[in-house]
Amino acid sequence: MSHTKFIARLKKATQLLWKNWVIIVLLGFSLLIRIYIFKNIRPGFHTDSITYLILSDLETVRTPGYPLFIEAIQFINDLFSMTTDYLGLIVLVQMFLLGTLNCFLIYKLAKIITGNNSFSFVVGLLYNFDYLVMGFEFSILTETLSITLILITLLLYLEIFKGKKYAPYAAGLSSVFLLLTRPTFLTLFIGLLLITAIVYFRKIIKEGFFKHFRKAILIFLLINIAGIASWSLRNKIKFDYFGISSLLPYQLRHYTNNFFHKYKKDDHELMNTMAAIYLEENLNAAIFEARLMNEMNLTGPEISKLFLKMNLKLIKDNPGDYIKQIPDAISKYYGVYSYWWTVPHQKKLLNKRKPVSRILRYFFNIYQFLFTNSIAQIILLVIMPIILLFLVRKNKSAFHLVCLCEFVINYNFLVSVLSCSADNLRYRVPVEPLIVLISLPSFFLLVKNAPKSIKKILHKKPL
Amino acid sequence: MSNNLKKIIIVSSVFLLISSVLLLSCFNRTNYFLNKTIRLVSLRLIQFERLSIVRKEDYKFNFYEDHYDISFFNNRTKNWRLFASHTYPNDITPSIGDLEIILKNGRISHFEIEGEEKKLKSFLILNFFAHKISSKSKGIIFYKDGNWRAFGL
Repeated sequence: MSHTKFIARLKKATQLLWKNWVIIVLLGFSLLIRIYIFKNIRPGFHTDSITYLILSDLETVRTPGYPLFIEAIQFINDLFSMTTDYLGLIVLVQMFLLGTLNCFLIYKLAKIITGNNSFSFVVGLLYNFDYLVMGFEFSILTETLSITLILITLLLYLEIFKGKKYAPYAAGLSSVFLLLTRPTFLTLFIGLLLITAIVYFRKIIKEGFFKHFRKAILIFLLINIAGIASWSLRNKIKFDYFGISSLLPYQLRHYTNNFFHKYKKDDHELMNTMAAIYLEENLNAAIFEARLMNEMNLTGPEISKLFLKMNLKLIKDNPGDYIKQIPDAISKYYGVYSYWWTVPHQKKLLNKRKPVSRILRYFFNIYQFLFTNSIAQIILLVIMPIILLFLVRKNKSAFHLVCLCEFVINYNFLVSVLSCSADNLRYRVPVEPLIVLISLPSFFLLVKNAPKSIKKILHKKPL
Repeated sequence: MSNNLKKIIIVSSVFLLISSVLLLSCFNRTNYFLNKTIRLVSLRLIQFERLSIVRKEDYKFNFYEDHYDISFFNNRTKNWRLFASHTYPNDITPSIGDLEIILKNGRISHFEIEGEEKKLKSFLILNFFAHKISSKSKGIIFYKDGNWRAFGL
């Protein structure tokens, strides 16, 4: 290579770096903060965590998304003989790969909404200070992967309507991986399409919008259906259970446990016996399941199927008992901001002595205020999104994205709250970055547009 | 750089990456399976340690020459029942032909080698080896206090 050519390439590379300095600084910062956190933690391990560890042992309760992610990491580890700290390795990849990627994706989405590089940088930066979200990065649970997949799905889904050929395939695959990681997102893809239909309603009627994207939408839809069908079929063939997950009864029991004593016996002898055993075991699902396996030779999927029927029957017979618990479930979902899931790490990560921990603690207190103060909550969850929708109404792409984000936030809220009344804080985690993403740009755009609006008002001619 | 060239570079680098991983896994087959065996045994030990706390059940691991069994203690019938059986891949075998370990309340409480109960003075090593690379020792070390860890990667 000649000297001048080399200089020219070096110049080009420097220009490229300079052009992307925001992203480099953002990623550098998110890596640094994760190094600090990683040094101070041990992998968070909960009872749910054990169900994801081995892909080949999966029954019907869990879906394969997260176990597949773990298996991919462990495959590389087995191949290159890297470490015997298997849980530590999962957390390492989760924090440094997914966490950093999430930070970048948030930046990208913020840029689509506001079009401002510096502000998007701030939003991306703030992602690293949400301790609740961060806490799940060092736990062996599905939350962090779900955040990544939600953000990727949204970004790729938007690309479909920019006419990118790869987008329907990529968005479809990402959506399938999402619903196979977190089955609550089973019908999300239908919702996304509905929201698009509403946003582009005029164009659909007047300009044949859907005609133009007919093929892409069909591909996106078919990939999702194929993904759901394939795992459901696997469950049917292997366990005689058709569906992607049999988790629902174990979620619903948090509601029905409070009125399980009202269970009315019917003709179904097996269900009657199961109900009696459940009461005998003081409504402890783990011991109840173990006992049914031991004494009645029932398999996990068989138990789930009957347990779901029992729960639905209870709710059908006592709808009032179910409905009156919903406000409590809502307050557990939106009204809490706690380090409960990361105990005992908060002692190190949120203490007052170390400077970084002090910053994390400072932001923890801010987030806690936002999610526990009713007025702040109304501003955060209702007023700011409405303002943002109004402010970006003329920018179709941004408006579309904000509508999609709001839909994902509310979809997750509804499914989580209606299916479970306990530990709901955890179910908020996958959409928490979106909540912040929607509320912060409203502040920014309000401040940015304020001088213009004031000028307009001042120069308005009186009638 | 033209878009087509970019696409070619991306596709070929992904292809190269995948094929090199596959090639490596073929050449490194025995080592890979050895690591995988230890990993799966370790992760199952972690799973059943936790289950023994949550379900309040005792679990037993029996390591034999060509497979290992996991059983649980049925508190009503007062006997052990087989829960799952897993074989070792390829020609991998454990160093101890018949080892029994019982997990109670999230701790290893009992060791038996070839039907004889052992009280550990300090630790016990369960090595796994493949006949092709028998010089490499990889396995699990069980400590006197009921803790354990995988080693030797």
